[in-house]
Parts: sequence; C-alpha cells; structure tokens
Amino acid sequence: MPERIRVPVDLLRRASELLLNHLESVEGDAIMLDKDYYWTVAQEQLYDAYNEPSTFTVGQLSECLENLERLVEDPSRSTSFALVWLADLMRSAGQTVTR
Amino acid sequence: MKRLWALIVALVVGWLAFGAPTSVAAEPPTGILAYAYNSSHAPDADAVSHDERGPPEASAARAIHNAVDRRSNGASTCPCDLTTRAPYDYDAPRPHERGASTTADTQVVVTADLRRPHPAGVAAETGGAAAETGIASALTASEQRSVASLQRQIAAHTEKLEAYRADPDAFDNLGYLERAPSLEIRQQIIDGRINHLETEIRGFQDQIDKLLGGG
Repeated sequence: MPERIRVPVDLLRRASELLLNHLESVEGDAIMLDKDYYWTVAQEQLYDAYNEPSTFTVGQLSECLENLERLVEDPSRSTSFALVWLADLMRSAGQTVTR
Repeated sequence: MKRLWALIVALVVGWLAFGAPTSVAAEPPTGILAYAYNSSHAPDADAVSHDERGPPEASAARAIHNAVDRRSNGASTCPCDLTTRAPYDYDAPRPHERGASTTADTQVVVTADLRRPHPAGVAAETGGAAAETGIASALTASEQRSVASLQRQIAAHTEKLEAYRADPDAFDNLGYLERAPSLEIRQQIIDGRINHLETEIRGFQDQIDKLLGGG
C-alpha cells in the first residue's frame, strides 16, 4: 500500500478545464450561489479519520471569491493555499448546479 | 534758421524732461492698488497687503505660514521650522528587507526579518523561537517569492481580521447574521469567522516557518 497518493498536476489541469467547460455550458458565464457561510474542520483534524473532529471554524464563500479576485488582479500573490479558496468555491458550485 | 531749429529742439527736450511725467503722476490712481488675503481664519495673513500684483514680499511669508500653522493643528508649513527637523525621521522597519544576495545565482540569503511581516496580530504569536535567534536561511528565488506572497497574505488577512472584529455586519453579504435565529447563534458565526481567519493566518505563518527551515 503506497504511503502517498500521487496526483499529477496535469490531470488536475485537464479535469478542471473539462469540468469548468461543462459548468459554463450549463450555467453560462457565472453561477449564482445562495449560500455564504460554511463550516470547516481544522486542518489537523480534517484527515484524521480515526478521531471525530471537534474544532470547527466558519468560512465564507464571498471572502473566497474576493481572495481569488485579488489573486487574479495580482498573480504575484499566488500561494498554494489559494487552491483551498478555489476548492471551496468549486465545491459549492458543484453542489449548487445539478447537471 | 538755425536758431529757430535750436529753439524748437530745446522746447521739445524740455517738455519731454519735465512736462510729461508731471502730468502722468498727477493723475488720480485708478483700478485696484491693494491685494490682501482676506481669510477670516487668518487675521495675520489679512494684514499682508501689497500695492503691486505678484507674490507676497518675503517679510509677509512668515505671517502667512504662521496663519496656516494655526489651521493645521501644529503641523507647521513654515520653512523656518525645517531647520529643527531631522531630514529623515521615518524609522519604521522595512518589511521586505532582504539580506545580501549572491550574484546571478538563484540563491539568496534571507534574514530572519522575513519572519515578521506584520508586527501585530496573530502572526506575532506563531513565529517560532527560531525568529529570535536571528538564524538566516538560504532560499531559492522561488522560495523567496513564496515567502513574500505569504507575508502579503498575512498582512491582508490581519487587516481583514481587524476590520471584521470591528464590524462583522459589514461582511454579512447575504444577511445571515441579521437573520440569525438567536444572538447566541449569531455570535457563534462571528466567532467561527474570527477563528477561521486566525487559523488561515497561522497557516500562512507556518508555511513561512517551514520555508525558512524553522517549522
């Protein structure tokens, strides 16, 4: 059993492009979210399946959107953590759009 | 004939020398002769007047500056005060100050200053002991860019956190706080948001610490 899961970046890129194209064909150039706040689990507990998480914080989709807007305006702000904001928005889009 | 010409020339010269200026100077003054700063807030400046157009005299400059000083709550604009001030009195630390870089190589030496991009807030609590030791780390250009980006993210998040603490409702874009079923639940959301931002700031600082080899 491997100790780590290998995730090719190119696969993520191609899957993202494929799914975003699908989203655009379904919803057009924007999606409308009616949710804003969401629960998040502390990172050290998020992947600890042996213990039930006990620490939660509250994220905000509109803040994720704002963070990504600032990132696109100034790509020098890029950090890998911005993927978390992108993922939070992507998840919400995936849960909102039904096709 | 020559005498006649000499007489005519003498009369013309005499008229030009004495007659014309006397007649002009004797005319009464016309138009505006005095120009004054008539601000009701600066009586000293009001006293400055001139009988000619143009900038005020040098002696009037002090009165004007003094009047401005009183309106600027002590922030003097008077040139005389410049002699008492240090020419460079901004001594705040430069957040992105870097150590000496090598030549064309991508290796650069980054001092421990990078560990403290923002002196206040949560970041200050999570720097790690290595910052105090002043240990420098060698980073690639890519790593250095990452550290700089993380520092900016900490600064932006810290600013956002302070703004959120001051007025959570300003960030309640869809009205969830306003419609919260109870004050307790409302406060729970607010506390959760604050914890979330603090956690992200700590995460950024942890990443910086790891890049600098202190994590």
